Amino acid sequence: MPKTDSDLIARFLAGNEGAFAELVRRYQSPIRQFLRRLTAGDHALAEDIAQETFIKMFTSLSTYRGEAGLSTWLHTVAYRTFLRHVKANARLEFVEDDRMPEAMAVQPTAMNDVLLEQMMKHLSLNERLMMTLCFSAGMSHAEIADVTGAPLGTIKSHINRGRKKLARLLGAEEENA
Amino acid sequence: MNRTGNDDRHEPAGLPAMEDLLRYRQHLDGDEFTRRVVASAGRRARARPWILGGAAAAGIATVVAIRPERFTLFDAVHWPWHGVDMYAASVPAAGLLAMSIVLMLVIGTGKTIDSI
Repeated sequence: MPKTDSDLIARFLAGNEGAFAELVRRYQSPIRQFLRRLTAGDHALAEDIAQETFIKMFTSLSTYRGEAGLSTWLHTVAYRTFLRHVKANARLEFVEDDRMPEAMAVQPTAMNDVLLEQMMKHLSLNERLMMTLCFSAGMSHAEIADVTGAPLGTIKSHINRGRKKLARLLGAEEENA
Repeated sequence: MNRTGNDDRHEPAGLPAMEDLLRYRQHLDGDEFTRRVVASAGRRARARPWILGGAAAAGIATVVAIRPERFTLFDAVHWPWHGVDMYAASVPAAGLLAMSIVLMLVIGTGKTIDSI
């Protein structure tokens, strides 16, 4: 029978390292994917930050109060770790708006993860973050506010801007520009 | 995840829903990543008390080396109010200084190893 996050956390805090490994196995995919999007396809950097995130989980899980879901909490840790790496290394790639291609020669229905990661270079850091949390991780705006600490209005405007840029990249018409 | 309250569902014409467009397609669940994280976390957890102990020892050694008993800051201050300078002079400045240095070093090291 599959164990809940709370069961695994309780076991880990009681000294069972196997429970920690199970939590890593459970959440590695969404966290690694989230970081691949944030780094716009820099897989080596994303892996380093993901590893760091789970090591922080190991040392800080005793401070987790359960007010937000473990996934939200882990996304918060991953985002903060990512910000620290960016501040220290500043090796993120961005493509300026005026260098944005007219439209990418792909069918939106044929998108794959690597292509999407490349498209993230055309979005600002906040647009990448909010779009990924909203549409890829499936978070509500309130959960995104928990992760990022941004006000709801700011979250909405970043999402709208990011959506318009992606639409432009894919050559789709805007309904309400 | 609860999506209540989101109003970002209208899409530009010609685009599939953003959820479909941006959803994660691969599932990254290799055991190699888990093994690496578990090994690294264990190593750091074992190193942590040694680093903290070392920082405390370094703090105490620093205090001994700079000889704080020579610091007479509060003795030299002459306050305008009668009696206040006497109380100030009785504050064990050397002890306070020594304690602060050790505390700063241990807290600083603690914060640093959290981010290593």
